[in-house]
Amino acid sequence: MNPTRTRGCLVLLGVIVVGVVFCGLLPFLILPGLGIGMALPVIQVPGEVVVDNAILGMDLTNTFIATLLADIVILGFAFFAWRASKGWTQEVPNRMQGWAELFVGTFYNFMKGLGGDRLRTAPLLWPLVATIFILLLAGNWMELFPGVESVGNFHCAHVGVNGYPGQRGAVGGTALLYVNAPLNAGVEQTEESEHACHYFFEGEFGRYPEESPEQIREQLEAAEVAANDARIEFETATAGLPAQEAVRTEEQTAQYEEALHHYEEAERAVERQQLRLENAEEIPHLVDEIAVIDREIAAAQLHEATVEEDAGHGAEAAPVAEATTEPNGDEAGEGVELAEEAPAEVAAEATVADLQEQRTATVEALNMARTQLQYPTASVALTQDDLDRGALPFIFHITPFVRGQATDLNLAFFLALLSMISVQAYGVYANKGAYFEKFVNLSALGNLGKKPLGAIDFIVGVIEIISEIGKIVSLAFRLFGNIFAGAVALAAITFLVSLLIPGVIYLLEIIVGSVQALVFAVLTTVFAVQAMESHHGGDDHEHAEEH
Amino acid sequence: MIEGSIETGLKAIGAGLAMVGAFGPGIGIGLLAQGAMNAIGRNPDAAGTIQTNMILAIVFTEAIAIYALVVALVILFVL
Repeated sequence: MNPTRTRGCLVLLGVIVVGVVFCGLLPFLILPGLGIGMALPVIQVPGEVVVDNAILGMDLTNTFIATLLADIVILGFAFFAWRASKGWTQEVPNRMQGWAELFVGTFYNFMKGLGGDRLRTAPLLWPLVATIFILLLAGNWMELFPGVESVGNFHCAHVGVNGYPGQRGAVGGTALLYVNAPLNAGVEQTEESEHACHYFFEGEFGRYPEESPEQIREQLEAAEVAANDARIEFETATAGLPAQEAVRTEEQTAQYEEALHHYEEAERAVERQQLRLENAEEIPHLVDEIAVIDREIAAAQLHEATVEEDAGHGAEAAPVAEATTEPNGDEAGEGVELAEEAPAEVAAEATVADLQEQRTATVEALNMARTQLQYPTASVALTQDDLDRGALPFIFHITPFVRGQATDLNLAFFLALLSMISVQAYGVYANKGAYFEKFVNLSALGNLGKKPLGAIDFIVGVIEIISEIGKIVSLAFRLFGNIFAGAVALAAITFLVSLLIPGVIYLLEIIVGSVQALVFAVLTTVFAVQAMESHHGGDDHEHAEEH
Repeated sequence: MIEGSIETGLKAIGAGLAMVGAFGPGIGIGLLAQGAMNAIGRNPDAAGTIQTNMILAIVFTEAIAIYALVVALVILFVL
């Protein structure tokens, strides 16, 4: 074989190996085995709140943080360009200045191709358009950094949302989600499980050791004594307080709340020990049950093999089948006849499948019992291996600190509003009051006597108003829809196949992010230039250079 | 038989139906590209201008598909 072909074969082999390892083995076997499989993020349209009540009663959302970061990056870029060009004075550019000039210059020439001379003469048009473009470009590209939408606040999932068990991270104070199966969409959080998670997260209790029922009984008694004490304390504390809440002073209310809190805590401790006791007593039963089912499965499999062997041998198989298949007597009762070995075979297989289902259910119950023994009020059943690895069987989730800025409809909508209001402002600047003739065509109304068909011009003006509002909506939703859909697509693909394939979507996102930023700026320019054109007699007269 | 709530299922159906609206812009963008290809074929020197205007027109058309997508997302995540 010639060397080129050998190399081609090796490359193909390499690609297949890399594909199998990264798209098959790692995301589906190895990573979930380590407990760091891929979790499905919570997708919601509004930006998630990171800090409540941050400034003047407004919440700080993660999209706003992204915008601030984009601003910092842009200002940093401007600062370094300014410094590299020695305050915009250096004639012969060095490398940094060269890059800045290349970037800004290309964009300026492109815009001039669209806007003509207006870009230079209209005040602040070029800075407005360039700012919109650079802000959106920076924001859209920064959405693709690692850490965006994946690093955030670890907290108990909200009610109705799917969450995952957690585990403590390597560095103190950090935590991550524990995902031990691929394509696992999480467990839904109910009110009850949210309370359980809440008390655990607040540190009310930790992991209990595996103890025998007797030891737990001792602890239960101790907890009951403590609860009794707490109740007595609560009653003595509240005895001195007036009964109605309105009459109490602040201090008294605080005292009441504290005593109540202690009492409720003690009561919950008692409940937890009771739960542990129940589950500890159940564990040996479940273990025995599993052993019994295992024996039954072995027997059924043996007899099934026998039935298959004897399928050609006649009637002896059927009575033998009846004798050994004891748990599911109904199925063995049918199909005992000579000619019908097939139903006996099918019955035998059905038995094994039923038993295995039973076994799975019992193992699940055993896992739940073991989990409840160590973490009473747990919401998720984890195996002993999982628990030893440090998994916490409550339902948690992560709210990202940073999320792409244009995934927030607020940014898209208000940027669109800003653009269109600027466009109207430019129209008024260029045409003065005559600009509004575009919308409310008074001269056409005035000429109705001479030219009745001029009424159409008036209606066209009304349609222009609707079109302007439509432009605001379309600008906003084009940007929002593209970027939000891109973020959702990234999350979905990463959930399905965590490695390599999302690279394709990242590439698409880079392209889409830059195109949408460019389009927003281009449309603003085009609308502004259109608004600045003189409205009347545009076709007949020549365009005079204004100002 | 049916696991999960009917509500979630109906929402999914609604979102799927909303995306049928992406059918039109798909055809529209194809027609645009066809026109652009024809124009470039006739006049290769003007390829740059034609390409720029094609991209602009495609963005407008795509916006309609994005409207459909936004409705689908609103059905799934807001309602």
